[in-house]
Parts: sequence; structure tokens; C-alpha cells
Amino acid sequence: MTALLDIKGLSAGYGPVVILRDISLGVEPGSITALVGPNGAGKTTLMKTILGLIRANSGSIVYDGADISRSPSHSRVDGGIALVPEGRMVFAALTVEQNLRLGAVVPRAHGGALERLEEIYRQFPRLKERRRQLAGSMSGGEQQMLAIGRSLMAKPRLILLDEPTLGLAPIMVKKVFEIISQLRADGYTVLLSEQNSKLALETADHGYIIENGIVTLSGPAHQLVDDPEVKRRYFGM
Amino acid sequence: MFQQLLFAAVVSGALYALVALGLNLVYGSLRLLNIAHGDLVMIGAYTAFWSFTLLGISPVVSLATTTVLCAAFGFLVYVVLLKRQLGSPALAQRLEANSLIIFYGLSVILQNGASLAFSATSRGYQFLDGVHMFGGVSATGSMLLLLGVAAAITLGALAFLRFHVAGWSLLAVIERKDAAAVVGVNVERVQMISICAGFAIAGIAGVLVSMTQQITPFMGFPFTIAAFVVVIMGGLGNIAAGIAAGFVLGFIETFGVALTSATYRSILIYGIFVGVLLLRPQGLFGKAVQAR
Repeated sequence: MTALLDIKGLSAGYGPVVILRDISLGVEPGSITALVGPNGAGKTTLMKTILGLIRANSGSIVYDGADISRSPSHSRVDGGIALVPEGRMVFAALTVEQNLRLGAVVPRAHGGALERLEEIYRQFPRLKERRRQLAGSMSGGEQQMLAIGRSLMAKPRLILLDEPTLGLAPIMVKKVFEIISQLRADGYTVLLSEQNSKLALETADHGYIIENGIVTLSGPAHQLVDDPEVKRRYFGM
Repeated sequence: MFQQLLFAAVVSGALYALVALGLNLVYGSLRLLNIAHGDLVMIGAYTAFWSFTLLGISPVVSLATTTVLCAAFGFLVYVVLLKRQLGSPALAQRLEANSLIIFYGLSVILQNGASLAFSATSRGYQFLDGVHMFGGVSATGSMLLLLGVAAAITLGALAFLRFHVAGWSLLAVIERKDAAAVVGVNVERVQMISICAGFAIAGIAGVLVSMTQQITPFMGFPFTIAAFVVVIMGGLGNIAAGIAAGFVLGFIETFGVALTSATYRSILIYGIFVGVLLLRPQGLFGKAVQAR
């Protein structure tokens, strides 16, 4: 099977500061791929580089057979890549419903946007209850639901989830992981960056461990979960 | 007497709201302090004046030509002066401060260019100056036209921001540029359109002003100041509150001058400016956006 996302030799950073060095990574269609590693390893930078918020210094990002590493963010979103960013980044001054409908701003998402909105309301009844409320007034967990819903409005094929459980209560963490599994069941491809390494690798099909901007280990997620070195360093066992 | 003052306050409030709307668009979506904003009002005023006196073209038509002219000028400024700086992360960081200098330069060029071309003589023309009376208020046709156009544009802007997805894209860019890019908003295009619209609105305000008062090449600066007072009262980048604040300034100025004397006008306006900055720097109506 050809990968939906195929990254080769990617380097990126902020100005003169290089964060990612020679990253290679593939994401199979219909799978969950987990990026795990310590804080500051470059996971968020990688997510932003895939969406084009940060320019790649070198290397290629091939999505659906075409190199997108030079195209602007909005055309990547229009190609079917959606990011649920670290810290949610919902628009506090807009209502819940405006946030969701703004998620369908790219041309690819115009058709059937209202049907998708109803589907998202069915899936997240909480968002429907609060549709007229300003997004800034919601709790962290609700904002995370909103950020995920907003990404689905873009009619994506590949969903990038960056630290979706950061700062959430344990019960919400469990709920978010249920949603992630459901996304795969619904046919979406997911790239998940997560500090909760154990839960992430237990849920994912494939895993990459990133440290100091390089991939140090990769493989089927169930193998990584059982790897004694991974257990010792990331699960504290 | 009271109704007459009320009407005057509403007219000047609508004009302030309109001028400030243009400034707020440019600040909100680009974080640029356009202190040449009032000079675009002047450009609009001269466009209407020369069109009327040389070619006999009605200021109503000039509203359209000025819109095109000033939007094209905004596009030129964007492409020549700003695009490269906004595109580079290092330069973009300093651009908010540098924009003061860039636009100050632009302001000097526009004022003195106009002075050179048109002389510094103040000018005016008569258009719709017949007085209408209703309910104890006497108003010229030009005042009613000013009020109607300013109200239509500001209310239209409010409706656009509330009901249209493109309006939400603009609010998204104003609130968080990076998050707007995440959902696929073409941030560069929103910024380009904002600067064109902001310049065009200033030009339109100039056409309206030229119908009701004398114009000079240096008439813009008081409008720049008034617009900054209004925008800061409403909260920088907060479009809807800025429109409300325009009316607040119109009321305070009109009634303040009526209760004291015209010599207190500047004291009132700058007093409000300093008072708001001291007591509510985030604006009268809520939160200002962060500079990022």
C-alpha cells in the first residue's frame, strides 16, 4: 500500500534555529500513526511543517502522490489535510457554530458543509447545546471537541492531532482517545502527536519515537509498546 | 435645540465611526498603525472636489471612483511596501513599530504632494445644501447623504462580520493569524483585501466630508487623531466596538462643545484619549486583540 503521507529527509525550524533534522516518516491510509517523545522533541514543529505553517528547509513532504512542501497552508487544507493544533486554537470571539462553519472555509469543504455540521452536532451533542455561545467561554475539554469538530468540517482525509489531551481531566483523556479510534473507524487517516506515550501506542497502528528532532525508533505500535527500552524510558516502568 | 444637537452628534458620530472602521480594519488584520489614514480622507475629498468643479461630476458618482482609486492605492502600498515584510518572520515582528515610520513618511508625501499640486488654499463647493426641516431639526441634504452612506457602510460591515463566513475569516485573522491559517483561511488575501477596503472607506469618508466642510491638503491629521481615539476607545482591532465608540465620540464632542465652547474641542478629544488609555487601555467595551 502506498502511504498517504510520505516525508523524506525533512529539516525545519524557526529562522536559524533548526528543530527537525532529516525526519523520514510514512502514514498509511486508514491508520493511526503515533508520534511520541518528550516535550520539546519537535513533534509540534513537525505537525506545523506538514501543514505549511513552518517552511521546510530541505526534504520532501509527499501527500497523495504530490510534493506539497512548497505550497501555502490554505491549499494544503484544501487538499484534505486538517490540523487540530496544540492548545486547540479555537476562535474565542466567534460562537461555537461560527468556529465550526469557518472550518469549512476551503473550497473542497463547501459542498455538504451543513450536512457535516449536523453530523458533528450528532456526534458531539455538547457542541450543539452551546452552538450560540462564544467559544472562549467553554471548558478545555469542550474546546478540544470543538477543535476536532472544526477539523472535520474541512472534509479532510488526513487529520493531524497535536497533543489533543494536553491539560485535560482523565475522563476527557479517555473520551478523546475513543474519538480518535472512531475517526479511524470512519475512514479517516490520523497522525497523532501525544505525550501520553503508552495510551497513544496502544491505540495506534504505527509509532515513531522522536527525540531532539530526529526519529530514534519506529515500528508497528504493538511492538513499540512491548519494547523494554521504550517501556523504561517512556512509560516509567 | 436639543434635537438639533442630537442630530449633529449622530452625523459626526457616523463620520467618526466610518473613518475609524477603515483604520481598525488595517490595524486588526495587519497590525499596522496607519497614521496616513486621515490623508486618504483628504485624497477622497479632493477627488470629489475636482470631479465636481472641473468635470461637473456629482459627489455621489465620486463615491464610486474614490472607492476604486483608494483601493488601488491600498493595493499598491501593500504590494510595494508591505508584502515582503509581512512574508518574512523576522521583519514581520518589527513591522508594527516600523509601520508608524512607513506611514508617517506616506503621510508627509501625500500632504505635501497635495499642497504642491492643489496649493494650500482651503476649498469647498456647494452640493445638496438646501435645508430640510423635520421635527424641529434642520438638516442639509448633504448631511443626510453623509449620514445615510456612513450608516449603510458601518451597518453593512457589522452584518458582514456577523453573518458571512468571509466576515468570520476576517475576525479569525484579527484574533489569531496562525489559527486562521490552520483552518485554511488565506491570510495574505484577507490582509490584502483589508488594506484595500480600509483605504477605500477612508476615501469614501473624504467624499462625504468634502460636501459639508472646507477642505485643505492638511485636513487629514485631525481625522487620523479622531480615528485613533475611537479605535482605542473601542479596543484596537475590535471592529464592532469601534463603530459604537465612533458614535460615543460624536456625542461627547458635540455636547461637550455645546456646553463649553469650541476652544475646548481638542481638550475634550485628547482628554478622552488619555483618560481611556489610563483607565481602560483594553477599550471601553471589552478586550482588545493582542499584538502578535
